[in-house]
Amino acid sequence: MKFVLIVLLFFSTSLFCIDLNLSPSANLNAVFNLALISDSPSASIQNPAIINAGLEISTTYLFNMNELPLYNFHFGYRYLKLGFHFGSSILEHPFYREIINNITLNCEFRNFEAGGSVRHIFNEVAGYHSTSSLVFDGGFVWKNKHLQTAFSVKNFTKSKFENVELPIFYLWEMCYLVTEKSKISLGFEKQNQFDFSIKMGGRYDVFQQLTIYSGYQYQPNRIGVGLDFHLENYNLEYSIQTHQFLGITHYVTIGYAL
Amino acid sequence: MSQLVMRCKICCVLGLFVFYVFAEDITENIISTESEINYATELSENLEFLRKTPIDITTVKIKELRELLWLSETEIQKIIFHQKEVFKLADLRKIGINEITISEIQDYICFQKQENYEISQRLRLELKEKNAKGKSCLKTYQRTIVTSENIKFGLLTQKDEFEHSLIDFYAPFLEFTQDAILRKIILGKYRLALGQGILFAPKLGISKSGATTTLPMKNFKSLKPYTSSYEIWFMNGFATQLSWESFSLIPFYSNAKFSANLANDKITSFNESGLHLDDLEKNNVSEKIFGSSFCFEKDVGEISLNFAKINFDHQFEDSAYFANYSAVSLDFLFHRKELSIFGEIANSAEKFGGIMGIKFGEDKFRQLILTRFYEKNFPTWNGHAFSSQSKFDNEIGVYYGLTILPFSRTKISCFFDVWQFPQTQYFEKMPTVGSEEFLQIEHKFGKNNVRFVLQHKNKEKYIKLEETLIRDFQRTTMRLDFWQKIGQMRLKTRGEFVAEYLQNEQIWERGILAFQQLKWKQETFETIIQITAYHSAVLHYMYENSVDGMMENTILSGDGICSFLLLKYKFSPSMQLQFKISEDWQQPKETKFYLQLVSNL
Repeated sequence: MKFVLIVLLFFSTSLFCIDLNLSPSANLNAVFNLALISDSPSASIQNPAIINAGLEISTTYLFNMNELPLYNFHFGYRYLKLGFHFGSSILEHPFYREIINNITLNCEFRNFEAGGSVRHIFNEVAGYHSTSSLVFDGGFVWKNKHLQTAFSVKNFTKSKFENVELPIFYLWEMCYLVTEKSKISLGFEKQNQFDFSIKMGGRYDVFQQLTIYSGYQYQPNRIGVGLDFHLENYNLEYSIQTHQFLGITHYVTIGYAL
Repeated sequence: MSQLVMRCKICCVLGLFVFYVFAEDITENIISTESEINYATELSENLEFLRKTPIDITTVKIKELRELLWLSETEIQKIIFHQKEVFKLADLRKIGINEITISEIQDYICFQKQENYEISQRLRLELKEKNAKGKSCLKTYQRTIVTSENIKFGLLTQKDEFEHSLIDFYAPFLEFTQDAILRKIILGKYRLALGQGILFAPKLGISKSGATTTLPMKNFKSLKPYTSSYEIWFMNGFATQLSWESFSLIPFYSNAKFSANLANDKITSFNESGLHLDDLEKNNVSEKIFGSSFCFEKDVGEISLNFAKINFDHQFEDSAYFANYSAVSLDFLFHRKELSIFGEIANSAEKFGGIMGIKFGEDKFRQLILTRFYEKNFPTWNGHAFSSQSKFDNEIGVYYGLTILPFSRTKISCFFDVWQFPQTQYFEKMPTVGSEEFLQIEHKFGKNNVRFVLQHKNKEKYIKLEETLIRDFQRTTMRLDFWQKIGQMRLKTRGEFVAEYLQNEQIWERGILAFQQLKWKQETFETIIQITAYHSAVLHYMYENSVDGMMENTILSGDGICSFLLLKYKFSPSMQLQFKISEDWQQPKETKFYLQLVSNL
């Protein structure tokens, strides 16, 4: 059953399933890609205006299926008011491969941060095609002491892939610092020609070495939970995300904060 | 004539106070979710008991404080830490307890030891007018508890309407408690609750409610006399509790008789209604249980190993259920600062079930995540674990609850629950899924409160007996409550909108409900009047004050107006007479009368 669903997902509509906005790391997997609540360098994938310094690698089997491994590598660096991010994502299947590399730059102006990124998407379906495309994303963040809000558009230039327009994502998020140890975030994701997906996430620093992430997504309805163990600059993250029909996605990330 | 008088009274009262509304029914705050499986007997009984014998904050122990569902772990620790400095409600504010939390717990706490009554007795008569000329239309309930130092004796009797014997159901118990190795002995009918309730728990209870970050984590008292009138799944025999330092052991034995429907002398189902029209079908099946629970408890938490052997004297018609089986479970609960980890793993009749949860967060932002898994045909007879349905087998799911206090007088509670039934069920011929979202925002300003509730449930469900379609069933409830306190009066108004949607058939059904309620309390006299109007093609679930002050689940549908009048008169310091008349204006023959005498000597 699972295999049939995946085949339908990736082959029968292969052109329209490129760039699915999959989670790039374990803690973003737990909070459904709500980027403000996360410290992960991979948050730049969701909004180029957010750059967290660090280095991380992540891996998962999507929906707990051995046929669908996803690997991620992300590097973020900040210098004064400027930020730089490089990321790479590989979705590997015996008959399907998708590789996304991206470069992000951002700049801070008082309470604002704005950023842009360019993504190179390479897609290969065995015996069918092997093509690539360039996609541009943009976003901004506004923040004060307790509140942050962010908005981004992925693929705002409406790039095409083999003459078919790639999905455009509109992402909005608002994050509230409830206490020094707790954050809560609310947001939505809107893909063109699809309904709004509402998301909510929480973050709680239990101890200095342990953070718990939790999230909920409405339509489709899913729950995510993650743990982040950090020792000095190193961190190890593990998270799960439920799916109504398929298995649970388990995600693991190892990182180093710069 | 009497109905006319009552209607006039209601109209006058509501007309006078149409702009003032109130309800300080904190119980309802917890039981604010609506569902066809909501029965909150033990919870509402506990809260009713706490209202009458409030917890003394100055001497309370940490476990007792956890019975107050509105308190977070840090608030509990604050109260325990400042226990000797707290003498009034204002002192709770000083130690950092939130304003809205204080208003929620104030009816259940006190600051000096309360007197224990030696004899507590209540006698209740219920009569439906419709059946006044019918046979045995009277429903009676009687509960007497006599307490003498370490010994407590109780007897509960009940007769349902249409039944003959005044002691159709009876539950006697003798309880002995002391502060020694032999901590407790109970003889007679009792109830056992272990861990998260997978093997043993009170059958009537709720898992999901407005207390989104406390109620899903079960916090039972292990052993209690049986005082419920629910006529099935009690224990009958003896149980003891032995305690030595950090260890405790509860051996138990039960031989109870229940009513079941039999076919070819095999059990097809159990009669849970308690109504026995045929004496041959009464108590026709017996269940023998023996087992023990071994617990190790420290300040940081507790861990228990539970074992039971269960034997029914009849086989089940469905061969998936065993008449004779063993059950074993391991439950645990650990606390550290603002973090609690809890769970129970059980194997019963060679089927597996488990619950694992984590509760964390500070006063202003609390979260609870719970995951559960129950194999199909897991025996659920004596348990009542967290679930999306009353019979909790064949389910895997994750629950996520949050409580946020962004301001001192505002509280936001929400939960999200997603689940799968991985195997086929009764009507559903393939695996199905479901989800539920709940949001409750409550704000207190001055003596007024406003509460908004939004609940959405989505499940794949067969509405009709057709085997070709899985129907995506959605139900959305929006409710606004507004209440105000004016002197000794409390006035409440509710507006509710419910919509049901069958996606496959594109069928919409809607309903609205509104009510006003007035409570007037004086030293010796208390009155509650409520009038409800509804225009609905769907079912509305709402709680109505019973004569005890507890809430009863009422289901309303169609077009109609219903009302009730509840009077409580305390004619001596230890005795109270309670009277309630409840009627549906469209069906005057459905009028119900209740009369109850409560005495505490």
